[in-house]
Amino acid sequence: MNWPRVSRRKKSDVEVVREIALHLEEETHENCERGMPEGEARRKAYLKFGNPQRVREEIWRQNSVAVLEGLKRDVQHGIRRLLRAPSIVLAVVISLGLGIAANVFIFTAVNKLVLEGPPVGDPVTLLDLYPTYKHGDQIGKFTQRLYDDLHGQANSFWDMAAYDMILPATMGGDNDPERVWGQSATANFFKVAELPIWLGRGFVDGEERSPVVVVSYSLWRRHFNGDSAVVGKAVSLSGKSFTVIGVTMPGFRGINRLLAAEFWVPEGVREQLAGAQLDEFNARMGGQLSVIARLKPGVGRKEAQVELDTMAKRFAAASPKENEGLGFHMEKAGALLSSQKAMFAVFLTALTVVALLVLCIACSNVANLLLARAAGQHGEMAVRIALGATRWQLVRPMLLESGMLALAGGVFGVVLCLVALHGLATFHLPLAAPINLALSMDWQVLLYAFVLSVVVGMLCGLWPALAASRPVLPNSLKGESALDRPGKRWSLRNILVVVQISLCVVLLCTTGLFLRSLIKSAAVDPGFQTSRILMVSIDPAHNGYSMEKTQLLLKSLQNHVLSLPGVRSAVWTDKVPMSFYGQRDVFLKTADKAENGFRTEVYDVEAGYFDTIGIPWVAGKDFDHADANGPKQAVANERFVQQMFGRERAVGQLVKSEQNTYEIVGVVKNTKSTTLSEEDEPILYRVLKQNVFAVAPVMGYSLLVHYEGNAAEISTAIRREIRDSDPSLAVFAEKTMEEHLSDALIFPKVAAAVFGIFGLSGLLLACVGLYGVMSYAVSSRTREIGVRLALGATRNGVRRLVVRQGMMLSAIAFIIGLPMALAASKVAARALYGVAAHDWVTFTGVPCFLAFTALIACWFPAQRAASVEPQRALRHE
Amino acid sequence: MRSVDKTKPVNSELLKGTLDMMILRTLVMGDAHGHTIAKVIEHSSENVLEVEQGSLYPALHRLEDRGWLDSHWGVSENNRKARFYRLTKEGRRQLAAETGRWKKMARAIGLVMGESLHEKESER
Repeated sequence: MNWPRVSRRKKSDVEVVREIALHLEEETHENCERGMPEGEARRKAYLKFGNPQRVREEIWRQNSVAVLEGLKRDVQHGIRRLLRAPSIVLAVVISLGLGIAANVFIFTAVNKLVLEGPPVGDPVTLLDLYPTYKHGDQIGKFTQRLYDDLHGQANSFWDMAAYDMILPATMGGDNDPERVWGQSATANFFKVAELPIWLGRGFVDGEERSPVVVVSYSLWRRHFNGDSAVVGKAVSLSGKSFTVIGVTMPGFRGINRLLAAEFWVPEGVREQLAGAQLDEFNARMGGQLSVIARLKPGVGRKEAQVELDTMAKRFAAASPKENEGLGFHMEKAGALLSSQKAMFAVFLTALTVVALLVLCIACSNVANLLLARAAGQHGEMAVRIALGATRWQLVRPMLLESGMLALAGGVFGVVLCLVALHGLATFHLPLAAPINLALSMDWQVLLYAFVLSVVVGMLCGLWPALAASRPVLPNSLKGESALDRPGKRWSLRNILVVVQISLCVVLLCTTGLFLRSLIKSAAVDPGFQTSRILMVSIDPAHNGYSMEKTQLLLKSLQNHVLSLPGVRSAVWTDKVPMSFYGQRDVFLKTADKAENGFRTEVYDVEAGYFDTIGIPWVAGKDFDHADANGPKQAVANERFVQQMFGRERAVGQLVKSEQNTYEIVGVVKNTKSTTLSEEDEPILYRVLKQNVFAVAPVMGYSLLVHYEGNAAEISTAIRREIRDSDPSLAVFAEKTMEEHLSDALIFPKVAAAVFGIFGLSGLLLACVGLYGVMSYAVSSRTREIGVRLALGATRNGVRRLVVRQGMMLSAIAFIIGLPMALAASKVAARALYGVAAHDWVTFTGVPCFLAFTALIACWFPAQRAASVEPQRALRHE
Repeated sequence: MRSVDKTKPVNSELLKGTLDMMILRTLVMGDAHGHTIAKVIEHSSENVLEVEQGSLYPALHRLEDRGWLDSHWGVSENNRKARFYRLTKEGRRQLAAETGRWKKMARAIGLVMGESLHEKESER
């Protein structure tokens, strides 16, 4: 195939015309010279040359590619024909676009979680290492010692680096101080990962303890306004001065794909940022280091695993107490562990199935529309067949047409998906930890969208095309429908509608279940007051405050806020209930053995907390302004008391944790603690000022304010108070308790919204489908209806006839769809709260609702059938 | 609908091949435009091969596409702007190959047909 030749056909044709003209001139001239008269000479020249037009055409043909010519003609023809039916094009593009957008959107998530790796250099040789315990049963993280041992002794790796768990900090600067999350990493982290750098550089050897920071691209854009002179500048990080040395590439948020780290500091300075308390806490939790390792060139994963296995045995033998059953596990860097994968797999599979259902409904709708179009073309088809066109020649343009429609739908879908992704990126998940939500479209996603569109186009188009290209010739000549085969009761159109409606039953039932679950969870009583409570958080510990200064700050801020007008009471706590995270510790009776302890949610609160957020008292009293260094006091909830003491009196008893002993001074009612859908958990409330010294809370301290009047005004006033006492403090999580609880419902809300959107679009598509099929049936039976009316059928009878046919289709669809829906709800049940999988409200409500909608969809065609004028119908055509 | 051009003779491929060869041969003597080529073929065949002159041009374009010919615009003997064709190196090589093949073929056909020709002559 000669492309330049094809492209310069036009120019070449002009030259050919000139060449031919010259040839004829020369020949005429020669003939004249032989003595012929002018006219005769020209005539002879033409005779000898033959038809110039044919010569031109032949050269033109030589220069073109036959298949492409045909294709181009078909495409042009197709576009012309489609432009003549804009409403169909619009309907098809929108329905396919919706279906494709849903699928592409979910694929972006699959792509991110399963397919894509972090943007590191040479991802093939970079591995995540994990220690395993109990002979592979339990997967963990490295302790500093284990990492040092491995780092010093392993020979299969060119080098390995470690990074620590995510770390909160307050970043100052020209803008308002901001709470950000980052990681500390060994100085060779950037070298081992071979991370490309956007600006500046990563850590270099010898910077283990230097106050330097690398920031992520997004933080650079947000906090430093994309200032390219940022490298070398000093920035305040949790009250300490750090030098910015680099900016990572866009899209890099750490090796771990789930968390979104925004800055990196050398491991050696972690202590300064985290405070000694956090590290002590970490040490108690076991190892916290994640390790990446770069394989030596020429060393395979298998050989490396063999070496790691022998080392694990050696370590276990050297210190059997610590390293019993030790092993090492390798994973491609940034890949999810199989347990994490399984968690996402369920979720993503469910979403994919739902998205595919919507696409199926859209497809059958489109197939129906195209069938109707094909039916309109039966005359043309019959004529073309009579003229000797082959089957393929008839099918090809129709397939092309549906292909083009599907591609247009695909483009629309991708655009919709981009809008949705943008929405998701700006969406703030109300979680304390920084979860990486950013999904992006890359070539893999676009390829998926393209393949999906083409497949969908072919699927939708093939059936109608095959049906249309096989018209019943005698019928067609008589001017009757050429697609209805005599004696065939079930047309393809009917089957498609039944499929649509039954899929719709499945979707709507699932939607119903999730909606009911949402309503149930929203109606749950959290056990405390939700109105007229305001919260605001600060994190002094991660802002360079010592414990003593923290105490003073909290006290003075509390006094300031209490003096504000409209503030009834204000108390500090280390966390607000329903924040999706908790801190647990094991408690037991002083006289008991360690095995009898149980895990308990721990809150550090102040006296007045219970009255401020309205948790009712059962027994005892509030903390009596206990001294910070005095005997430790605690308030328990009913569940704790029941589990610990049974029917015994709890007030006055002592309980102990690993470190301390507490006297229970009061008992309060149960409240929800982490999520609204949980069972009541045992909770122990400790005295905040007696425990400030223990562990600095990762999420800072929250001030709960019981107010009267305007929340926004009071919130601004509180913010001003905090700003006045220390402008470098980042203020975060400012909201009312109602907003906080609404955030706590985020997961049921998202589930209900996703299914709601999918379910409603499915319903809409199915209704349009049913309406289309019934309209078509009525219009093709106009004559029959005319005859019936002429023979004495009543208009009501005709109406019934049409409605009965439509409802018949729906009934069959229900019979097929309901068992499928029941099966689907069994799967969905895991994600439901307070609703049984076979919830009778849903499973009777949804079919009734659907039947009603179907009735409406049938009513309009039925009305049209009933208004047929027999006289006109019989003369019709 | 694909249709077969009924006007084309079945052995057009054979004819095309020989026409190509003759064009190449003509251009050995020097650059020429289409009309000259047609005249030369006519004259040197003693007016036996009176091809439809039009069919010359598709052949010329085909040969140029294969890289056996080059073309440029120049001025004809009669002072008209004309497109001149020139034999390329590759064209020369092709001509040599074609000529060799043709000679072999002509000899073979001559051998087969020789006897019958001889018979006819003797009858006369």
